[in-house]
Amino acid sequence: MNQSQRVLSTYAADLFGISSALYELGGLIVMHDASGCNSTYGTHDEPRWYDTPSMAYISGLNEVDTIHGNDKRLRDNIKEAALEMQPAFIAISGSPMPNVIGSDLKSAAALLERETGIPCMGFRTDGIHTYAAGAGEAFLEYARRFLKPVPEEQHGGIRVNILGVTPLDFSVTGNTTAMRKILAGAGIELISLWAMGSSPEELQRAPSADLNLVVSSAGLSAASYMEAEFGIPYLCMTPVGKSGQELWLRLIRERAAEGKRKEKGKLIPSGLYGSISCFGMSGRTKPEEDGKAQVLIIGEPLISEGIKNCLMTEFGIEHVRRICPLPDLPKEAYAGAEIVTQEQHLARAAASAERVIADPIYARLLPEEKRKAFIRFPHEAYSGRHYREEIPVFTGNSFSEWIGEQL
Amino acid sequence: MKKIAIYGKGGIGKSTTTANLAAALAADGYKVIQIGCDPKADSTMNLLKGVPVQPVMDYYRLHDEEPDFEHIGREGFGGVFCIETGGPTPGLGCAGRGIIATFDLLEELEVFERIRPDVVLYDVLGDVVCGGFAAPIREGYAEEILIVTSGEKMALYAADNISTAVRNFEDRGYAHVRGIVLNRRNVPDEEEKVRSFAEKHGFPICADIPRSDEINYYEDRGMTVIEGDPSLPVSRLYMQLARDLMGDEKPQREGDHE
Repeated sequence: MNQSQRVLSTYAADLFGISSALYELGGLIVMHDASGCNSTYGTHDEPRWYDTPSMAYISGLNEVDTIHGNDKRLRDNIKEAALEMQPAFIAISGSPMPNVIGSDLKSAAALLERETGIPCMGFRTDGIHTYAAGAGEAFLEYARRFLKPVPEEQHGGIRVNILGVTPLDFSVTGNTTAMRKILAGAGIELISLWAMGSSPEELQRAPSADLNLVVSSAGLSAASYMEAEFGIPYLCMTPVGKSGQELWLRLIRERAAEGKRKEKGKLIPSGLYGSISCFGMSGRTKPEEDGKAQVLIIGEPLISEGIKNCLMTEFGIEHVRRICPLPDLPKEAYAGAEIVTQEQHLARAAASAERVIADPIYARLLPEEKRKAFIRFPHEAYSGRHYREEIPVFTGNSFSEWIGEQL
Repeated sequence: MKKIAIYGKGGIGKSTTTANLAAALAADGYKVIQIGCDPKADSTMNLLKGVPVQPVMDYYRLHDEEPDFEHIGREGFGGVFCIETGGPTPGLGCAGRGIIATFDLLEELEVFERIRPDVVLYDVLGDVVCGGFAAPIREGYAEEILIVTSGEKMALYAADNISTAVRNFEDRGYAHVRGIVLNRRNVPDEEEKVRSFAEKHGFPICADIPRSDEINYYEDRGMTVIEGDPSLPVSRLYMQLARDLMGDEKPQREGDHE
């Protein structure tokens, strides 16, 4: 029963991460699943659903096709839609059903690409891995398929891309605008933001940047790819609060001054194709940390690292503990965060901390009398739209004021 | 790295053929990984003196977590690294899924990168009954398939099903059939029946293995005939098959193995 969740929820799944990452890029996005399952994505995990046009669909997988492992109907339907809509690309991912029967959506994509002439990406998702692994793989695959070397040109100032942005981590409450403003205010040119508010043409100019700014774990694999292919170095950091903003800008200038890399770096896999047993293994907290934490942060590891730095630098809080409930990220993303998914361990860690910053659903882990010590920091990938109005702008200066009021 | 999947009807001698081929390749200095893809988990037993390796799926069942590299398999005769996927208790679960999960784990543990084999042999259960059993012939896994058959009607029927499955996957870039291993059961007109099947599909017969008491004798002792007596005529047939399959490809670490 170790892995049962009594009061907690689950994070958005890998295929939703893929759809979210590619949502604005002009592709036909198909989730191979039973009809009706689009509403989970559209209603809860995709805040752009109602106001931003897209081509995200559910395939309407049926029982007989599942038994037969028949993907011909899927391919025929996609072909028909694609020839009519002429998308920039086609992306296919699947729910647990096609995965369990061993559907090979990568080869289905290769067939479709041959048949339609449209670039087609197939992802082996299982609906069990998390959104962050899915988004990471989608950004990586998009970079592989669409980025070409650009001629070196002399330019003044610094050019950057921001990588790893989806509403699942950053919502639609102003975080991307804040990051754009920080860079613009510092005279740093933003080439592309992967992938909210940037056009496909802007994304395809990404190789002309001096530096990549990875602001969530979902951007790490694409950044490592761009380093290996185009020599673009990257900086992993979410700029949280006033101190985070200042540090971000300082590090951007320092890293950009070092210039592009000449040696190829190592590609960091997204974690999407890692073994699912990592979910069973991730119940291990560090019991020696229990009772020490003045603040415990539960969430995406780059964002929680940003919050931690803000609390330590600006508020003098010495012992900040970070727990990441997403067990399938590239190991480079955790930066010291404990990976914990099991409710009983999360409950113990939460109960032993003086304050907890996490999505409101995690408050259920605490007894009623301790809930006043809980700081609600909603995470779209966890509670969907339910607490969206409460999501603060956590990138940049304004977070300092917000968290100051909460503490 | 050459990757070969061995398919055929249940009980036709796939594991015997695979283990002897692995042993023959090892005797020629090749580093071999043999992966048994069958819930029965008996593919590699005769490379291990009859002491079976713990199947990956058994490890999951007992430990509730994945095995590390040290527990994924064991070296047997000639340094052949033996892995068994294992699978669920008969009548339960999903065996094909067990194969896919094991392959994911091999990738995650970078088993091929660490062992750096010259040859990987996938010994796959019976027929290609579901998506999981086609996993060994997908892109990135085996590039070539050997179909083991006798002249028995049902063995040829299964061989026909396998070749149909392979044909269906042709345009997806999956593995192609390298040829047939005729594993004789001494049925009437056996050679003619298998030859006619092979010609119909355009497959060569890569080896013709006679029914052999020596194979049974050494299997009773947990060995392949290559280990038991490499000078036997049947051992020499496996050696020849190994050489034909490898062609000009030399072992990466010549001299590393006895």
